[in-house]
Amino acid sequence: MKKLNLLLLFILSLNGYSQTLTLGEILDIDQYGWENSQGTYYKDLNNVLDPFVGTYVYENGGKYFKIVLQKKIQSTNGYCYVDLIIGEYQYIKDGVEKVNTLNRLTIINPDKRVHTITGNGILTGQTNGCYDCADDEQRLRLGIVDATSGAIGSIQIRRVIVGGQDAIKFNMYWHIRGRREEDPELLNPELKGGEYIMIKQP
Amino acid sequence: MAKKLKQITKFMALCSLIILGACTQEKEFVNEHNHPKIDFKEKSFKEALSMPIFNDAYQKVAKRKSAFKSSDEARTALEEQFGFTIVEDSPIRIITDQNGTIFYTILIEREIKEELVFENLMIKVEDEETTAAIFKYTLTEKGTIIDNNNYVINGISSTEYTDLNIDSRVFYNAGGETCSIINVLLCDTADHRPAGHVATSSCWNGNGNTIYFGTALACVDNEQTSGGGANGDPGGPSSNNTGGVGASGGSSDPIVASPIPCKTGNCMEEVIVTPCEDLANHVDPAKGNVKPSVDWLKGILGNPLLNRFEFGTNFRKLADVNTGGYYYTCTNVGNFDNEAVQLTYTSANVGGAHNHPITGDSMFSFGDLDLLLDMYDTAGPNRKPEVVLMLVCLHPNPGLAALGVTSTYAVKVNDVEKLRAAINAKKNNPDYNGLSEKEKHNRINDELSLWYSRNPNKEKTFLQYFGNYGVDVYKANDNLSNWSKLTLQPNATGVLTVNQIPCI
Repeated sequence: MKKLNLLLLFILSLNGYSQTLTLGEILDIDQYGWENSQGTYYKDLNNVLDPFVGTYVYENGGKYFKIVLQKKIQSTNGYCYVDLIIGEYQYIKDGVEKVNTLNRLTIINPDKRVHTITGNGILTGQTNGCYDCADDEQRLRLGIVDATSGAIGSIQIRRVIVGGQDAIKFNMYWHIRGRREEDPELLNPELKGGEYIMIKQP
Repeated sequence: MAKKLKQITKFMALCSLIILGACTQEKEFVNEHNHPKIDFKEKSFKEALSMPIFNDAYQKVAKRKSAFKSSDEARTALEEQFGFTIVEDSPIRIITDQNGTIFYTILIEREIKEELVFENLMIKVEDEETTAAIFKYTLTEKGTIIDNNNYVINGISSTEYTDLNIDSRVFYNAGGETCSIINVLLCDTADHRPAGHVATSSCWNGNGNTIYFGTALACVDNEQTSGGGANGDPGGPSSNNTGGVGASGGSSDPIVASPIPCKTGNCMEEVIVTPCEDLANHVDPAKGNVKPSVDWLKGILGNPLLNRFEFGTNFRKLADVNTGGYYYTCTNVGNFDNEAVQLTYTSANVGGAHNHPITGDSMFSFGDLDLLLDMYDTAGPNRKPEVVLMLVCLHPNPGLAALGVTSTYAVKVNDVEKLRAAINAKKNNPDYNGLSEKEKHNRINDELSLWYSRNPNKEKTFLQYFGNYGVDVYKANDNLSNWSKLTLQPNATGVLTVNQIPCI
């Protein structure tokens, strides 16, 4: 009877396994990018994403901007696997909440790239405008999609210390867009581009 | 008799013609095209009939058999002859130019309506002489209703012209020239949309638009002058000898018309330029003159308050009603609120330029190629070869970037279907299954950026990934006086390196 149970368990586990993508080669996330291999797991082997995880807040001049960054492992849409950072945020201006996507932190989807902010790019040294960065300093590069306006942006996050507190310099710009003149004017995202110095929350 | 005012596709600047509106308005305009003053009125048909000049002109044209019995039977001899009915509840557009010539444009319709077709009866009173013609426009697509009975029409596939030969006078008098001009009131908007917008109420709402007489060039097509009456020629007014080429007696000599205002026949010739010549034209102060805009973008990259954002510039090629040629505009699009800049384009666009901020990549993004494709698709047929997307960015070497050294690139389409297929193939890669269009776009941009960040030679990375996308990329020298095409070539050891092929 014990043998039968074990056999049954083995068959069930095989069945479950066949419904998911076969885990293939494991590569570091620095190999993830333009052309990814089916079945490969692009893993954060060196845990370079971990230092950026946290909740950060910017508050100044009637603007309150809170972002939650989480690390997600083995995100997949069935093609390959990848570790990445996802983010959702809240933006309040003059007491009026303009954007709040924080409830999306709980969405259940094996493909974590559906979050508002996603990515796993690591920039090292002074590239992409960080002229005072140390040669081995690592920054995080992410992408953002504004659901309301459809605008797409790029984010660069640098870890800094502000007044003895852990913080990030959150730099974001929205990409240029085109529209045919006869089409309605495109909405602009509520959260403006720029550099936000955000304090890490306990 | 009906003469085909075919638009030469190679040369077609897709006009946005606007059909008559329903309201009655009067206004005077001073335009910026050296036409001192024109007068524009819209009157209802009944109001117009109470105006002696129109009434007189109309009677000459209509040669009425009898007074109206009812509105349904209000057909004139002219209407009987040509099978149309005046749309009396649509206003008549009355234009008086600086010489005192009056044009009455009247919407007409036929019992059997043709899809995508509209017709105008145009009556001209010049020096007390009345002439008239029918213009039949076949559209490339349905017009868009903008208000009341105003339609914006985005393209015309053909225009047929029938001169009514009132008292043996022709409306369209080529005067022995190969080409001649048809006058139409046009609207030129403040942002210089393409010429060829027939003006209506949408054109004077205080938004900086100007009204001016535009001209459509009409030429005899020498290749199709075999003569002979057109099938179903209703007879009636004798055919005219426009251009001195067409034969009389029901000649069907087609007349080729460009919707581009043009006062000489020269602009009918297609000019084929190479991409290198085209880039030089874009920079030429007498043509595209994009250098000030590129310098503006370079200045933004040198401004610490602005260099973290993208700015843009629209390039347009517009018809010049005064010279019959073209002129170019560069409209800089600011981004002083740190938003997502929008480039708007029409069929008159020939591309644009933008910068990548200091935190961005020193090379084109995937989204840039998508933008280029949309600009190319939107551009008029004769403008497509000129479509270009330029990029001003900092040097990829951080040390040089910190000193403000910039690079200027241009990407041009060499095979649009290849570009379209490659973009679609990328978006449809199973790696992006399950993502929305925007999410796909975001991920593709971001993943390309990862590779740019890992490879100091961005030019090589671009050529490796986009070498088969149906585009060519060019790099300008510092003052934009020369461009070089970038290609990947194996060096002596077989390693692919970026090769610059100078235009000059």
